[in-house]
Amino acid sequence: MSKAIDRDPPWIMRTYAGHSTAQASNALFRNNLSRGQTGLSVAFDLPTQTGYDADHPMATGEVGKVGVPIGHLGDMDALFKDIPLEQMNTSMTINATAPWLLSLYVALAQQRNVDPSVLRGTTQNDVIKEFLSRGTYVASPAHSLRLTTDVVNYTVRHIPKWNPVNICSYHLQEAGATPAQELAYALVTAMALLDSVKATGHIDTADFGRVVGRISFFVNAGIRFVEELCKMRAFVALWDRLTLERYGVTEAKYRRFRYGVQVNSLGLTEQQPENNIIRIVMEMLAVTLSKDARARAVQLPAWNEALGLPRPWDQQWSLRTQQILAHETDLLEYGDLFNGSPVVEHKVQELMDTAWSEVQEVLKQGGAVAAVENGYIKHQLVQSNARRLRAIEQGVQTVVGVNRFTGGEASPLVSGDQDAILVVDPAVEEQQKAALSQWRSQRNETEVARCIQQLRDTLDSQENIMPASIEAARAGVTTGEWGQALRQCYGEYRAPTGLAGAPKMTTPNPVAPNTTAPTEALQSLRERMDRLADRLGRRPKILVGKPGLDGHSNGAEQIAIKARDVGFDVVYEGIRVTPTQLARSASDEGVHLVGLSILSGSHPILVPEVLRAMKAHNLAHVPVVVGGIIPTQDADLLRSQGVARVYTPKDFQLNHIMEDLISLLEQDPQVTKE
Amino acid sequence: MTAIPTDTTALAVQIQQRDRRAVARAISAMEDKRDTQRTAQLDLLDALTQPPPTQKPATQKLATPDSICIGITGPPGVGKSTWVAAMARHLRRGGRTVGIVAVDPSSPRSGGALLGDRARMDLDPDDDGLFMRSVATGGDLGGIASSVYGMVTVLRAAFDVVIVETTGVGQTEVEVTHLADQTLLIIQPGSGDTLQFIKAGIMEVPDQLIVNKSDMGAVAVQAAQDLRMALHVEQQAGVKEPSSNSSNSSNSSNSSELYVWTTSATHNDGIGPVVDAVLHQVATLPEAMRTAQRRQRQAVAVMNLFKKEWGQRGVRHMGGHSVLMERIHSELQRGTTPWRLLQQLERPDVHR
Repeated sequence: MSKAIDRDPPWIMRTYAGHSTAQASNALFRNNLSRGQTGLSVAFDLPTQTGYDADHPMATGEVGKVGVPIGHLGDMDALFKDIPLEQMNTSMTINATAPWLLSLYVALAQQRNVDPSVLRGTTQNDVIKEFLSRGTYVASPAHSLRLTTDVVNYTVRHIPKWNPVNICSYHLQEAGATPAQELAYALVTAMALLDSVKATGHIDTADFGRVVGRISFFVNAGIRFVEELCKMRAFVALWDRLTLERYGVTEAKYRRFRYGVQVNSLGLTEQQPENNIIRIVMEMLAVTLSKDARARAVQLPAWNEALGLPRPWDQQWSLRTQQILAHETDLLEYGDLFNGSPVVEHKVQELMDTAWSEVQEVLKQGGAVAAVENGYIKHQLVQSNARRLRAIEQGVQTVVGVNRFTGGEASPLVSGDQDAILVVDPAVEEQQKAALSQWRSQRNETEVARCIQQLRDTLDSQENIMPASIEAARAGVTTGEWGQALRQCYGEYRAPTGLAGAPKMTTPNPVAPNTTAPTEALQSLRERMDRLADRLGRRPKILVGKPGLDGHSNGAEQIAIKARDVGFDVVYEGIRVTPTQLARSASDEGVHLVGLSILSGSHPILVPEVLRAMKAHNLAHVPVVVGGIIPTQDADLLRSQGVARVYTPKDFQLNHIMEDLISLLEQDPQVTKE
Repeated sequence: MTAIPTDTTALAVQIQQRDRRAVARAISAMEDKRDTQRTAQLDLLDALTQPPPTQKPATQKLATPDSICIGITGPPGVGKSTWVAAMARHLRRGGRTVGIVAVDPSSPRSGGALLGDRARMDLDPDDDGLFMRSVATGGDLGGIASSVYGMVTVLRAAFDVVIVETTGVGQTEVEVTHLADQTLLIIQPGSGDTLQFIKAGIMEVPDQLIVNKSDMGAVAVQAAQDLRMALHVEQQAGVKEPSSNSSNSSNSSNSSELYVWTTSATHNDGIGPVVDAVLHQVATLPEAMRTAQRRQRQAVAVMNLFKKEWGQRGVRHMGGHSVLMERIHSELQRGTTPWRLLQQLERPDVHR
């Protein structure tokens, strides 16, 4: 038996990791590598992702929460302490500040006498989807695309093994995309990027295949794993066709669809959370079973993500899942299992056709950038997500332990005194701030000022941003200073929220008449709202707010839509709003209720700040409710501070939340006083 | 909390002193549909249209005639909110205080509404000279909510310039002209809007026509051309006369093109000149014409509000449209404020 020879090599196994400080994350990385992980996937905190230093007011409460804070070259050095860069395959989930984080990585290699041209890894660097889902953008889509293009042009020439862009359909699915939408919007994003690179004229036509060959994708895999498997095969076929027909790439190897994957987090449940590990296994099958459409790198979420931040043990369990599939099972001993299957072929064709017609629709509107700026794609996603949530709420789509088979034994995994999650030490933020001012005090300020000026000049010009950024990294410029240069040159962009009607309205009425009768539950809520409106004298008005840097707006958007559907007047200001700003809006708008959504774990700091600001605006009487990934103990604390209600992923029945909000107002002195 | 305190004069003075909370509260009160609030609402509005009894401090504003109301209308998706935001920033840079009412449509199914203009406008949250309120059309589908008339009066008492952004569908384009000193119609190049506007007779509504998204290049130029053509046709048909005051306001040389502008709100390009022209035109309007126009708008507003409250049957009860209009005109001529007049017309015994 020659077992070893017959097996395909396994994919790169990673864990999306990073929190607290560079030092703590370094320990975590080395630990993960010692357990058999074969690549690194760096999670950065929100200030790093949006170009703020830890001591900037916008960073309050967010430092070290959802990832590691990297403020300068010193932090990058600490993050990779005793990790040989030349041997690593490092994936960085970084977008708006991708040119900067890559510059820090290159500068670190130079400092360690490692030739940057041998570096391997990936910068996510797909800002387009940030406007649709994650929300960590800074500049406008067009300006962002220019920076992405710079990274592509630079790496193709100087770091040839680097994947400069990971076109992400992952986050589109998290935002509600159907498989066909995921395919279509990822492809139009890739087209926008390649068109942009081509337009710079920096790449010879003969070399364009190499550029195409460096574009990789980062996809999602949901629980309907047969369809997901077909989706991956459709991706492979569509990409092959697109790169040949649109970009004339003749070498087959450059047309290969290369992708990494993180399986679905959206479907992970807070109820009976141990079931999630089964879901994760099923979802992994979708991206590994087909040899012809197999992932190059896989990272799996942890079973307890709906509860809070996973602990090292939780992440280890996800790594073991991959290792068992790759090393224990016989999967890697066979060729493609599905070639010739009429069922699979039919499904693949159907997905390709639907996706391709959506691609044409976006192209008709002027491509991905135009369809982001006019709100079209966002609107489509918000609609799809609303349909998905409705299906779960009405039981049309089964979720075990949530809307079916809900009774069960208490899980020993979550029944201790403590929540089964990682809690970031609140002292981290102060430590990071102190370390930052220490760093600033040791720099050559003249050199720093020159580098910052050079960055701004470069941004204003057509020059590639990478060389100036690498020079700035070496001089000790900070992430916040780099972000500030970007903001000064390009301004701060606010993306469409997807809540307004589709902008290209052809009919005069944006509110299409209803075709289906409302359910009984909805009707009764509407009647209660009408009575409330009569008693209040006007329609109950709610402000839906997202304080802080967290850009995951899907939850807030769905609440806003549902609130409208039961009869609220809903003010939604979009993401990244400060507590003071929220209080002022609540006051100017004359709202009866404020709903906050925070998913980054910074609720213990941000919520009290909102409450304080509201008090300062004489709004202490207006009830505040909070939704997000909020551990039980935190929820108790928030309630004791004056929050009227706390909602978590467990509260999937939007009708129930609405009923709760209505009851809250019915009992409110604003109403009962009359 | 929306009830008006019994001392409406005190609240009126707070509003005139630009007390944000008083403004917000008064605007909420305007939305209050309870019969018990009607008298207090009209009292407050009446107080706001009177000069304050005490000496006027420097910060204080008179509701009329020195505050200006500008209506912004146009189909959904042309960038009205971005335009309004750019306009507000321009006015603030010029030292003028600004109050904004942005109207969004209510869902006929639930009565609720998504009010998204605050997200689109991105205004300075620390600026005390700037106030913005999102409003739903409520029951008044296809038009401006009747409460908006009152809100504009509140805002005019507090701010130098009041901007009303309409939903851009149905009758709002027409109705906003009854509130505003000038109305700006914004359209997008290449959208086929021009033809629709001519058909709908909407060309007679605006004082300025704006082709936004001029960054779209040739299509924008074409759209501006189409509009100039359309306007020319309108003028020949005797619908719209070019105003003699606007001769220095435009980027064109021919009198038939006086009202057409091209701008790009996202690139903040071309907004300032339009706004400055509007301010100039309003400021240089001869006093007599200004008074006549204001009275005409007030008469139509009183009629609109009366109809919204009492419907066609109410109008018939008052002796029919012409009789009622005549009565409104003569009452306004005698110096009755529109709000007092509305109060008189609404006396229940009249309709019994």
